[in-house]
Amino acid sequence: MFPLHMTGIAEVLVTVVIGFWFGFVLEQAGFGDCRNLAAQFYLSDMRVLKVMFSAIVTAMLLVFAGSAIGWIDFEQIFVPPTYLAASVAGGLALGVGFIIGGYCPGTSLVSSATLKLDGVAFAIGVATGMFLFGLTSPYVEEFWTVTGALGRLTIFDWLGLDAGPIVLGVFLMAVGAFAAAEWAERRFRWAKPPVPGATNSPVVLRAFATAGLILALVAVVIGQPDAERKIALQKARLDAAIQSRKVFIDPAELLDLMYNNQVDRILLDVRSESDYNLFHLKDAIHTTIDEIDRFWRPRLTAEQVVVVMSNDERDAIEAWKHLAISRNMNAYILAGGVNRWCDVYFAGNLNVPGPEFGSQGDEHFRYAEAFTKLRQCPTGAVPVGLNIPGSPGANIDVSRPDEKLVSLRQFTPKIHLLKAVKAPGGGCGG
Amino acid sequence: MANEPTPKDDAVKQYWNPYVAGVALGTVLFLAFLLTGSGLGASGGIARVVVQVLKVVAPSVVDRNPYFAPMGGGFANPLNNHIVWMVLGVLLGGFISGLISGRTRLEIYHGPRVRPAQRLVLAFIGGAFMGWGAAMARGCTSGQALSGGAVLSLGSWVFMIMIFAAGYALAYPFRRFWL
Repeated sequence: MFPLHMTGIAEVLVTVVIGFWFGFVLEQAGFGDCRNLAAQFYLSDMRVLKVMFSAIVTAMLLVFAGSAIGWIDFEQIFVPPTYLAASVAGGLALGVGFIIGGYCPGTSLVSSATLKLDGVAFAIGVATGMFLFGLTSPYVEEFWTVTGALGRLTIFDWLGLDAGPIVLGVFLMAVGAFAAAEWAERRFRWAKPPVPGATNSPVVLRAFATAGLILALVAVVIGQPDAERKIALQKARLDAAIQSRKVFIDPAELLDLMYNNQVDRILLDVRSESDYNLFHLKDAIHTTIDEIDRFWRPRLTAEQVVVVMSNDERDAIEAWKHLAISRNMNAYILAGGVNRWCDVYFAGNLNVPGPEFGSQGDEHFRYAEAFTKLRQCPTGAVPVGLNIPGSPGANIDVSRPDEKLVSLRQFTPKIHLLKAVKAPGGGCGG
Repeated sequence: MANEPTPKDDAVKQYWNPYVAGVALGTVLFLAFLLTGSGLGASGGIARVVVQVLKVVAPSVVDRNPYFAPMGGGFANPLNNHIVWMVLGVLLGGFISGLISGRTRLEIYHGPRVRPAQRLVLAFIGGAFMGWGAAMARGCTSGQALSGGAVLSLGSWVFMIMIFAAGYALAYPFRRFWL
């Protein structure tokens, strides 16, 4: 599944080649000549709008149609985070710079590469402007980083819709804008740029429009995959991880993790609320699969260790799948669930199976009765059935037993700390 | 140096049709998403060159600045970033394209009523506005408007609308520069 994440020399080569064609196409589009670009604002040559919008629409259609059919993981595609105030201020400054200077940073590089001295002057101006922004950035930091900061936010998420209708809408809007542009060019002829572009070929335009409409309809009709479809698409990978038991961790490893203050850990408890209220691990958060889809998956990152638990394993596995469909997720399952945890740290049975062995339980909380009784005991009473070697009769906290108890059990460590695999970002200004 | 009358010799080839160029550009952008997960960019490369120069001249300024530090603070090498390689590619692609189309030649493009020397000053001033704006908006027309627009980022569309709004608002007062 795309996108690929390349590193080292492969990333460098691919980036240079992409940059090459980026520069090549910009130059062939006529964007190395400021007069072609400025003409956009005098309506006599709408090349900027035509090239930019057909590029945006082409990439948009391919990305969202590809995501709909499951070839692209849109969560892994870099979406520039939204900072509303900074976007408004920066956008206005770019508009001013455009009408005065006639280029944008990318086109000034292309212009410089074709030895246009005004392009070079513009690029030096860009560098100077960035330097000036840096000098003033301490004073505008709050406006720059906080005001209207909404994180990764797409138009369709903002409106609470599927991507499909927005994709179709943008496509149709672009077609309308192209028609208006053709009309404007016929109407306003006061600054015809010196070198014309090739004329429109009706056959080619009709082919583009048809292909675009088909892709837009694919995005609308199939829709972006929800969690269930993503699980189906990634079935092989998820099942392999479960079969090999490499995502199941022993209670002792979890206890070790709970005392490890170097690791950002999240414990998610997907049992019924009544079981959770009766007993849960310290700092475990009660949640549901629905909440995992809406809240947790978009927020958790690979740097956090997530442990999902249910009474046995069946429900936890299901919840784990809803996390693991996101590739930037370091999620594990408590082997044997809360029942096995209580076998070890409540009943004191240290010989329960290790993480390589699953449990076929029916998600019934076997210690429900014991904890109900315990609740009725006065504070400080000895928990029933407790038999921990080395601490006979001690009133230990079953929700997070003493750190020393970690060493009572042998286990194969399964948790690996990961580094988030991230798209390198749009690159501009950061 | 004069660029008017514009060269009409046969060596200068016609530009591509804008829709064809747009679809080609969109395909390059899509391939960038497929292969790297990110779109295109340009201003980030210029920013990193600025930080590299500053790092040599005044490293303490880089370390303490909220804009410069993430790019080159401490032991970080500002040029060790994919965007720098992309900018090298852009320069190479633009040069080759201009070369095979007869457009790579030393000259200054300017409006009919602007002298070449004036044009250089205007280009510098416009560039400064744009450099400030691209830093503020965390991206330029490539990284924000084009790449963010294609993945329907809300902020990128706000940004794009603002560019056009400011451009059209100022087109009339600044018409002497271009008409």
